Amino acid sequence: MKKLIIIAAALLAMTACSKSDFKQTQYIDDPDYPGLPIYSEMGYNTYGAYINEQVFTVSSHGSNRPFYLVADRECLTMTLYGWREGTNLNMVFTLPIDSTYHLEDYHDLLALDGKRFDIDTTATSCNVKFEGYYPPTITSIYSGYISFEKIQQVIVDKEDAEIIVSGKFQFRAFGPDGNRLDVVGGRFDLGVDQTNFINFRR
Amino acid sequence: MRKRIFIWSCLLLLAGTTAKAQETAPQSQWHHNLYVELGPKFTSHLSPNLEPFRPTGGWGAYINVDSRMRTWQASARYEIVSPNYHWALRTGLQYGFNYKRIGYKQAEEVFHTMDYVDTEWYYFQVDNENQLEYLLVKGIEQHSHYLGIPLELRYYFNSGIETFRMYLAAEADLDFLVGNRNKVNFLNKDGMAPYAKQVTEQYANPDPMNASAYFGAGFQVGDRSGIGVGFNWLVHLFEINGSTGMLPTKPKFAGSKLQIELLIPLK
Repeated sequence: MKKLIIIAAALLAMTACSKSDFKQTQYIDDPDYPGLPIYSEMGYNTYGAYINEQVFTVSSHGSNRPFYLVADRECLTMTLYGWREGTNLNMVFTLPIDSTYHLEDYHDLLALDGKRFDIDTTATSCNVKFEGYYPPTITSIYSGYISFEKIQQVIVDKEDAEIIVSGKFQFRAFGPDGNRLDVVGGRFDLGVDQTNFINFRR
Repeated sequence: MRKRIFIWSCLLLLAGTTAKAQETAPQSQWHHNLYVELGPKFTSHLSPNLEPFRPTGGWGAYINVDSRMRTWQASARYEIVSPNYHWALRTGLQYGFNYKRIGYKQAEEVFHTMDYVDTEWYYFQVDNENQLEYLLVKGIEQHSHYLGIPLELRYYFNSGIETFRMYLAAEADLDFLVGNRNKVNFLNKDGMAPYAKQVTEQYANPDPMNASAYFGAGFQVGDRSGIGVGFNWLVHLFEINGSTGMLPTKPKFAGSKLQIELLIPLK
């Protein structure tokens, strides 16, 4: 219950009006991957991937960031709100974060710079699931990765503004009927600050 | 005998020529005028370097930059006009003030961007090795001052009306940069002045010398022996050398200049 209240409060903060368009999604089409945003490391608040050749991409282009990160004692969960075929679909990554990372604050995400996590539910506790309207169900992931290519701090007028978390992902999974689910071309470029980073480690 | 006839013929011819020259002396005089001229110069320029700007347009990531260049010129020129009032050569000293600005442009709706956040400033990225650093910038200006030497050749047409003359003109200007100031308007003014250089160093300063050529036409109103006024419009033909700074201009047919001139005849 406490978690739900905190997440709801965080989402409320995310939807609050902001005079800064730094929180706005800056969507630039990738000509090499039609339907997806370019891979960038600028905090453009974009993400996307092909799910069995269908486009999954960022759901909002307003002044609200359509994603959030939650850290607890064992995991970092990254939830990306998106669209696939005109319907809502959220992609949720759960990554094992041991105590060496000390993710107390969103600035601590800098420790993930250059880190790569293999997504293989048979070998690691990394997991991906889908939520939304008729989401694909994943029973197992047999190969894949998510890599944090660059994590950097953003300074605006000499003051700390946010942390940019950018990277790539792809994986192959099986559904309940044994049908294959290929997620390829995945990329994300996220601006993270206290409004969309929640810490449950305390 | 023949020799004597030849000598007398030469003397008579010389005497006749001298007498004729004395008769036409007032018409063979070259005319001298002084001009004071003032006017704007319109220069079209290429797009400035937009790399440092963070897009602010949401869907489609649009960089909404307004760049403009204005030039004003004032000169004092001496003119020498041929006795038949057709050809004239003019030169003098010219001052030019060139103003350039890269600033905010009112946003337009782009594609489906309905919730565009209207701001009057930019995120301007500056060099920083380890971080992504932005400064909030409302506008960048460059003020350049030039002193130059214009050299102009004119051909006046005889319109048949004593107080109205039209002319064609070809002009070459050699302008020397005598002062330049780069200015940054920050959104938050307090304490940001020291960082202006980080912004302006991403744009070129004007070259120390600029040479350009023009061709055009104009007209004058007023009696030749009295004070007159005129207008001319000169098309920029080409530029030989010299960048104008943070807004690059086209090397050919970059624009034109319009000048009003005040004619003061010299006795």
